[in-house]
Amino acid sequence: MINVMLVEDQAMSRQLFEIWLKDSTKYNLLYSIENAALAEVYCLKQSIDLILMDVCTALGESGLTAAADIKKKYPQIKIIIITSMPECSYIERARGAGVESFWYKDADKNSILNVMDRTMAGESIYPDVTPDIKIGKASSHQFSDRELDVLRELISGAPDKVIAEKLHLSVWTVKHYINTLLEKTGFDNRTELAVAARDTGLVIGGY
Amino acid sequence: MTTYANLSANMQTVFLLVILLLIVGQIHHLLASRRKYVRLGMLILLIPSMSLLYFLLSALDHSSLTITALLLRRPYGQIVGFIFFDILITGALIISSGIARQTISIASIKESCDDLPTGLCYYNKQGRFYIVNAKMEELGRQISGRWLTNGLLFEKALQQPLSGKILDTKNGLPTIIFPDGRVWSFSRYPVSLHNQQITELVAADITDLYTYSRQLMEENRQLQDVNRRLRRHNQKIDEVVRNEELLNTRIRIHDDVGHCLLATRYYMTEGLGTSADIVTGWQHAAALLEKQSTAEPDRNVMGQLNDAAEAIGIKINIQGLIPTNDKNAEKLIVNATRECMTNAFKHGQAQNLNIKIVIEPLDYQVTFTNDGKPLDKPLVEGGGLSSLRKLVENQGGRMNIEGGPPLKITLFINRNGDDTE
Repeated sequence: MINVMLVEDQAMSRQLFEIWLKDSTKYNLLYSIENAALAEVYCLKQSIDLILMDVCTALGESGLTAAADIKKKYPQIKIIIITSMPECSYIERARGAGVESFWYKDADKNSILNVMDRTMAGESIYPDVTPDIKIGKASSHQFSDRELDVLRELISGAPDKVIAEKLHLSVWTVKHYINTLLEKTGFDNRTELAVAARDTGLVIGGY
Repeated sequence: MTTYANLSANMQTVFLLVILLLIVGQIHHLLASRRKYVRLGMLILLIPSMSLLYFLLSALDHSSLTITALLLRRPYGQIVGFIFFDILITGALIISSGIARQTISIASIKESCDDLPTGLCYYNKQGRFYIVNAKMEELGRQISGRWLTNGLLFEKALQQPLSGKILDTKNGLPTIIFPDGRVWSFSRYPVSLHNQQITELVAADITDLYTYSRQLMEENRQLQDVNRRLRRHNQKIDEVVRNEELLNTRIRIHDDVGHCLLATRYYMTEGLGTSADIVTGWQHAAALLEKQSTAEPDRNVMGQLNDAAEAIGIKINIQGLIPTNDKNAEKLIVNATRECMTNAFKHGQAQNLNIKIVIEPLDYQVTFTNDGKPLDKPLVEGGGLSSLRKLVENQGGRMNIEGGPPLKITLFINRNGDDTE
């Protein structure tokens, strides 16, 4: 049996996963927890083979950060990042952390079990692309990485000066990026842009 | 004419000289003044003055005046008189216009100061004015209710203006908004004049600047409001996405139950499928429904910590309450507990982790101790503890480590208040 830990803060989603895993003859659900920051503690004593890790977990703790820490200390544990957020940076961050697989949540039991089987067989399963999201007139794939960085800071409500300091850019460069984003999306102002970007989940700060 | 002729010669001469002085003064003003209405007035007055002078000269008792008797004897006297006055007027015009062009008089300085759009005055240490321009005089009257007499008294009056309201004070001098909506800012500068220190007091009309700065402040306030709402929106959107996940899960359960109903109906009416498949389907659907109906609420933070501790055989003894309404503090305490729990298990084989939370007016003091083995060598702050220290310090707090035994870690976490808005 493959020992699994599930890290998912939404009770009903967690229970659905629990049912799927209990139905399975291959996987043994050892722990089901809400907070990614505590996941590492569970790895101390028990032999966990696979972790299904949500990105946005209880208390705003990041599953990606927790996954990176666990991979450093317990590289033998395989991790699958599971998320319903289409944030374009998550896939790259997961790869950077050494996470084996990445799965966008859906309600199909077979889909996740298939990813788990292949991951445990040594495959690394990642989506080819992030979901294409329409934001105003533009498609999410039309934005450059730097524009997305600026957009990610913009949704936090930070003024241009703070964004510039954080991204090591000049204020004028930040303004230029924001104007380019406004031109691409067709929004009239930065607030509309920020709200749309956050609503679609294209960029999410804090995880 | 008879009355004048009856006066004594001396009196006639005195009248003559008075009229002469009057004419010279008028000519001077005609040439020196920069104001058109003054020059026009002088020109108009000059004609009757000249006529009067000529009349007086004509009526003189020539026989009693030695010089005039010689110069003004008719008919030559009239001719000589005209020539004399022509020379006098022309000379005066030339001299005066020369003075006006080459020198700046006190009057011209005052006049140019009066033309300035700013209020301006100069006074010495005792407050005695050297010059006060028209605008400052007007402002002074509005502020003190009387004409300006002393610079120091005016400075005092500026602190409590009779008219207008002080908006701001800088270097002891105010910015005042007057009832007409104009805003005047006063400033003081030391000036050296002939080795004497005098004070220059300037009043600048900053109404436009004030209006623009008010607009800018209002725009900034609106921008901050938008940013604040954006941050709140940012926090709420996670909830929205989670609700979407919840909805999808419910749809999934609904579909499963619907599928079971349909399969059962086909089995019963058409004999399709097997009873075993249908039973398995219903068992699955029942499990989902059971989970849904008994869906436990998310465990609270203490529950999460206790579960994690239990998984590694540690018991948490907590004194005080985790501030759940202060998310930053709550998050820091969870991270610190995880770190202390890990260390207590790995290095001390502890069975109890003691947490004491004291709420102080400015911060939360959270102390961690455990009943594990004492340290056999001085504690070296590694990755976990130094990351924790960084987290705490980034929030403006601090972390103390006492080697013990027992090892004691205390966090001082700033209180940020309820941020659940």
